[in-house]
Amino acid sequence: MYFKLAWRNMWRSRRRTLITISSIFFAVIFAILMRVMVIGVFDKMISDTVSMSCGYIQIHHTGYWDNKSIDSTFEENPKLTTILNNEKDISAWAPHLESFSLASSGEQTRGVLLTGINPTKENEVSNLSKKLIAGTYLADGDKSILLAEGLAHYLKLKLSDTVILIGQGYEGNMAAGKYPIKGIVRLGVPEMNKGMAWLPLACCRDFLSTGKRYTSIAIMVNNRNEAGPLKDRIVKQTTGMCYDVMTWEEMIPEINQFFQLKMGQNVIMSGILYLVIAFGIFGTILMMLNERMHEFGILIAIGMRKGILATIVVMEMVMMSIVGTLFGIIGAFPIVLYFRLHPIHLGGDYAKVSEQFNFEPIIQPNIDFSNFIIQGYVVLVIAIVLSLYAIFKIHKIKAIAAINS
Amino acid sequence: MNNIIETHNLSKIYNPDTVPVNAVNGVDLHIEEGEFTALVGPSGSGKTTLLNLIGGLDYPTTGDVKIDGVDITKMSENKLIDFRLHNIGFVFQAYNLIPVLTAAENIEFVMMMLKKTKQERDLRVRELLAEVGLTDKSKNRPTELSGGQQQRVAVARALASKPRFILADEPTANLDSKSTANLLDIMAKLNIEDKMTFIFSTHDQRVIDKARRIVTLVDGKIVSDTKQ
Repeated sequence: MYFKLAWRNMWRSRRRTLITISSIFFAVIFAILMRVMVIGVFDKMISDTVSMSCGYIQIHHTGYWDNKSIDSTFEENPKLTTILNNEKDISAWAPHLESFSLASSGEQTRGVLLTGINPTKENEVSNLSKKLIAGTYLADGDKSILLAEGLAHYLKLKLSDTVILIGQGYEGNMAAGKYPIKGIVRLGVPEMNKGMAWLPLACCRDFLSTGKRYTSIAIMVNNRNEAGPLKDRIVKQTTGMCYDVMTWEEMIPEINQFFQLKMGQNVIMSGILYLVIAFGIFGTILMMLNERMHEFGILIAIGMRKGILATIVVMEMVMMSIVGTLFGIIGAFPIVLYFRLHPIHLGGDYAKVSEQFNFEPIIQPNIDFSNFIIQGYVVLVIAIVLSLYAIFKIHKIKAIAAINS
Repeated sequence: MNNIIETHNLSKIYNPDTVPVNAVNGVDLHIEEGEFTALVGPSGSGKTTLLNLIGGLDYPTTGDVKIDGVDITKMSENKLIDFRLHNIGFVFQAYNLIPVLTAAENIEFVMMMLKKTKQERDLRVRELLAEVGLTDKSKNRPTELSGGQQQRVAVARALASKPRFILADEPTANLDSKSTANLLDIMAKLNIEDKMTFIFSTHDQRVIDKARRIVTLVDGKIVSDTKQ
């Protein structure tokens, strides 16, 4: 009966109920949007950086990270390939043969990070082909090169022109070659856009005289949070193979530190948002309590214990909170999905700031459903905790004063 | 006959520190079991305040109220709520039924609070609805009932806990003549057949005519107490 009473009371004043549910509904939507946007920006920043550089996890020869020498490479290993292919948390992996070289054309010369890639596998890791703005993507047997847009512009080169590369090869060999430009790639990270070039792996191995060697294997994961446990598993399985396995946090700690700092700031912002939400919900609870004071007085007069009355009122609030939260989560989903499919492109100063931090100036929300659940849960807890105020208020009611109110 | 209700030197002063108002002023009143008593008097004479004090809805400034010899003015608020539930039935001028419950549920609700079994509740609801002549309206919500019917449900609700007495504050004030007559017949029948004690405040001459004892209040004091 008490539940029935609470449920029917909830719908007795539809306006009041709708106001309360709406306040929770919008609170949940705002909390979710803020969270997924912030996480999405960080995800994008990290993803932009790692997919074009080291991956979320990288395997390299012991000591390579501290001394990035072309001599500190490792040979293809079928056992390692099997380990990586069998790991379900790996979304893609690609071998890299990286070396710094000088790229030259006419009077212009610039140091570049040259990467030998398996075109198919690399595309799974970095979506490099989608970044082409001119020409075509590399194929395995090609003896041609892809240049980043900024580099091509600096060297004053265009499609089908030839770029000259000079560097140090394996075990002190001189590396020199000239390669026609097959494609020009635009990268979201401006610093990378000015100094990167790619050759097919076989061609790069010829250039650097490394034989069938890699400098590293870049690994992408299904979920960024899985990188740590995955690294541990790979380390365990490659014990005794002279490999170092590192996560992106270890390789580019400054990005991680920046991420942690921003997350800390976001906690403060979230706190402020929750405070605003709390006041909104509290206002509707106060309104509800004041509107029903006469009714509460009558119920107490006819013998209803305040504890039971408070239980019924809290039950109503909990039900409204659950309904508002569920609708908020459902309502937020299409909005988040829309912005996921149509990211917000930043312009002006915002874009400049983004570029300073080396990430593409777009805001694209994260669609990990756990963020929806967490935010819904937080708002639900806020609403339920605030509804406990009803217990305090009802405890203070004087029947006669309430009846006369 | 035994006294159900006894008040001794009962006073209620509102705003004692600012503009004191003696709503009830030294009232000594004894109500015996089975009485059908009307509290009458002009507006502001203290009828409702006296009913509230007798019903334990308010605490007196001085004096005491004894129900079956128990001084309710010394009870804690929670004990008083339980005491009201078990011993006192209330009928309000504005009916004050729970709008989201049906007529039957409004009556059953009181027995829920008394932790009666479903079987006991159903039986009592049927009895009470029959007594107030609303068996066919058991599933109607208050908004689907006339004022007279709502007040009859309120009487049934007041009787649900089998109280020692019923306090009714201007029970006919919002009713038309026919509904008033009907309600008074029911209350009189309950008083005569079931020996239920009624105390009501009223201005309504039709109610006063039905009462067997009339207590007149002026300025918070009893100025006459007659039986007819």
